[in-house]
Amino acid sequence: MLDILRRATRSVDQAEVYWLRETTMTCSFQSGNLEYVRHGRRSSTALRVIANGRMGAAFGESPEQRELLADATSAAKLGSHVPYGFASETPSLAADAVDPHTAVLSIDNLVGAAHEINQHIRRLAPDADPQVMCAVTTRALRIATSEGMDAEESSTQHVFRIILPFADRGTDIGAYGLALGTNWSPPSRAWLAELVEQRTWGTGPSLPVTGKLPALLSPQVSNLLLIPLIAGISGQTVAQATSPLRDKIGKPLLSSNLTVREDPICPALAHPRSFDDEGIACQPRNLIDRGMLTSYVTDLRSAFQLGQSSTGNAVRRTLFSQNIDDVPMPSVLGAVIEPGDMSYRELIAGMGDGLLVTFVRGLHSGNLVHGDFSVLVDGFRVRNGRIKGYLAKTMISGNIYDVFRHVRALSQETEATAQGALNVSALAPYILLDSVRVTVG
Amino acid sequence: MMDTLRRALQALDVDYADIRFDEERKTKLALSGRDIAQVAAYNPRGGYVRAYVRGGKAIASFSRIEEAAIVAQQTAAAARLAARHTAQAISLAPAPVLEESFLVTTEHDPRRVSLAQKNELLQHYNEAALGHAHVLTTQFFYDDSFAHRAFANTEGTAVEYEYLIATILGVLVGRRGDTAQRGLFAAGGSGDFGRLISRDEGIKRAAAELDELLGARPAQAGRFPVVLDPFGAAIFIHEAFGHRSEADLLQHNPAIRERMALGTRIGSPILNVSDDPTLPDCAGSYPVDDEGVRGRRTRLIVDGHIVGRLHSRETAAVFGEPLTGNCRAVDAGYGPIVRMSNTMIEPGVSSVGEMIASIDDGFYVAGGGGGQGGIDFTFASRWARRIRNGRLAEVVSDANLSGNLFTTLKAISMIGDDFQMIEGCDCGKGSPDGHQQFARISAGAPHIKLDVATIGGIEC
Repeated sequence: MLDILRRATRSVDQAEVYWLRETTMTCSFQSGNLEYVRHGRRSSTALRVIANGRMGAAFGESPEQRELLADATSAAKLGSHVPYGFASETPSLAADAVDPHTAVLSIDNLVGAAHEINQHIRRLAPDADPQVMCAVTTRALRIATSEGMDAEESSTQHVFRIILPFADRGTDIGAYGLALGTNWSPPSRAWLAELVEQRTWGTGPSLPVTGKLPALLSPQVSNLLLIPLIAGISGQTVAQATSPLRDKIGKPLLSSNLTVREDPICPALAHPRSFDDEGIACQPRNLIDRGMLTSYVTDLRSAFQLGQSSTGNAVRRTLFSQNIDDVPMPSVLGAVIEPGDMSYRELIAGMGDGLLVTFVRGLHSGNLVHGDFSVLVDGFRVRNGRIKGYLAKTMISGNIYDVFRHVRALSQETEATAQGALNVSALAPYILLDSVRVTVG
Repeated sequence: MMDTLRRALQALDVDYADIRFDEERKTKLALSGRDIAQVAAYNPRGGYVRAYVRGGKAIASFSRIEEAAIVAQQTAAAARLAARHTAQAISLAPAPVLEESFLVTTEHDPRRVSLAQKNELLQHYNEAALGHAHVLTTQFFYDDSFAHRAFANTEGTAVEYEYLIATILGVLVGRRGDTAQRGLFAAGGSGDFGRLISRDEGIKRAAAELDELLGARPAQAGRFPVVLDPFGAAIFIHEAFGHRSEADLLQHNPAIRERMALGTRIGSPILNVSDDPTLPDCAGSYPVDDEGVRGRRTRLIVDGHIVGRLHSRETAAVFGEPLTGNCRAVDAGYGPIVRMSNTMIEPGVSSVGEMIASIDDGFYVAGGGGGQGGIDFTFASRWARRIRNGRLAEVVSDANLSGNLFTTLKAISMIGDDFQMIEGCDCGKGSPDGHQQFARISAGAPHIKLDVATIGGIEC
């Protein structure tokens, strides 16, 4: 047992320690030039206590920090009454997510891999001006409670992010590729060749007309669906009656072409998880089954409010959190959208006139829980099934519970998405929407 | 602590290195409806090192002050490695050596207010919000933060500086039929706890806006003339231009950099924009940045022409432009990058009445829903009304606005005389360490009129 828990049991009813240690190495090349190498070490600790039935919390860098227990106990004097307790069962750990090879990589190895990617891109496209970032993270998360739960899970992850700016540079976008995984595997030559080809699509701006058009969303844009959906199935918004999905379990919500699973241990996702941020075991399950809503997601608090058990979906880093400072909230630890059976190139060829959307801006600004979106988009215009230049000054808008009711098809290719500031990991295909409102500035 | 930092830099075989250590003390209270969702105290601490050797650059973060010397040595070694792959040397603009302490003093210091009193104030606003029949639930947050930072570099600069800030944010949620909407409340954004007291009018305003939004139809999408309220205009200049005045975002895009050369006309001739971290009591105020460079007022646009840019020591060297003291880090986990401070549209001569009267068919947009910058930019309204025949008409929801850097600033045809700074604002931006969220910034503006802007409403 951690010393802080031993001390806590002498003065409070219950205690829970969350201790996250991360080591990250990064290198970044810009135009063939090494911009920087970075080494980051971070240790963060959250202590929650229940004292006289009330919850309090304190945060610091290490469980050894003496003031943590006193601060949390002091905070508990004002905290709310909590009629539930911390986790008492130690979950069994899923398959090891540590790649021994990744764990011992040096900064030399990273620089070498990124340099080789640069050289290969330059061979394929001598006028390309690539940005290549390579990062490796080793993470260890330990959660222990005074009730006997004590588990530690480690994982490794590598990320390659490559941007090939369009040749005319009239924009700050370009062809964008992201490759991540647990086991060290730099991007293949075929993957790089595909990216180099996508760069040639950006030969200049091409504005669609204002109106309704089909839109093919790239896997990196799956957050357009997932962020509002997760807000809607959150036990917190359901318990507060602010979710539009209250009383919608078992009802058709989205297109029958869409199945969304939660799979926290999916090896293709960033940092697979066996337990959530309150130490409750994570469970793979369907969230949307062929368009039908099948499950809400809860943490200890919202589960109590709904009269259920926690589904193991407590997450400390939700929308825009950058540290572990926030209250655990219900979210999804790894979303998987089931793929279709056509290639994304076939989807483009068959869509007639429309948009290929590769990035959205301003998603966080809308009425997320309600599902409304009104966002600027990057991507490409498609005319007669062929790419015709990049989008500029283009917004798409609507409500996810309208536009994702009409999904024409999904691609067979899937990609893992970056967590970014939105903090949702997903594995998603390209999604072809029948129609979305397009406004051009 | 300063001695430890200076010792860590001694005898490093580098062209330049600096080191920073942050100690922070934060309080957070969160209410969800009548439930207290969180009462917490925070003591984050950590350090950051940068080393430059023959044009190669290495950076590192660490958690404990005892690690400072070893991390500094490792970072210097990494910079030597980086130099082997660096054809284009990274250099720093010269900066004056500074040895000074900048400690915060404030009359109504939140550190002297008890947790119970802070909770009582938050509960008061929460109850006031929940007292409105159409408010289904609420989320209220109280945050205060005191940060002490020490910075030293191998040139002899050694500065200690502090930040103190307290804010209250409130989200009022209502539901009518299938429609859920939010009303937003924000107060504070400085080290003065007094600014959080007696703000009941703001709760009433947020509740009234929520009531109107619940009965509103979504905005019609299209191109319209728009009047932005001071909050909207402040967010507009932050997203539309401010981010592109941050030199690191221009550095690697030669075409955009050329289009934004100093002297270029980018806006209407009545447009003047500046950034000023020396303003008293604003969220983006500071005496010295995280490279040990003094903050100063920088004029960015004068009479519609670009006249300045925001810089770090690296970008100032690349662009050959003066230092501005805008290189900042959110906290100990992050290195400094170019950030805005308090960015403003300077006041003009028009009245909001004249602006509305000049529009036959358009929108009045109040800002506050967030936004995102780029060559194309967007931001969300907090609340909006149609303008018809020169008069304010019905309230509409979901009036998100977008535009383009090179066209929208030229569409500003009127600037008001009613300048206001906004409270409780923060900003996110990507960096080598990940996404740096919640940088303390502020922005200010009077009402402005755009002759044409894109409204990405939900309705056709």
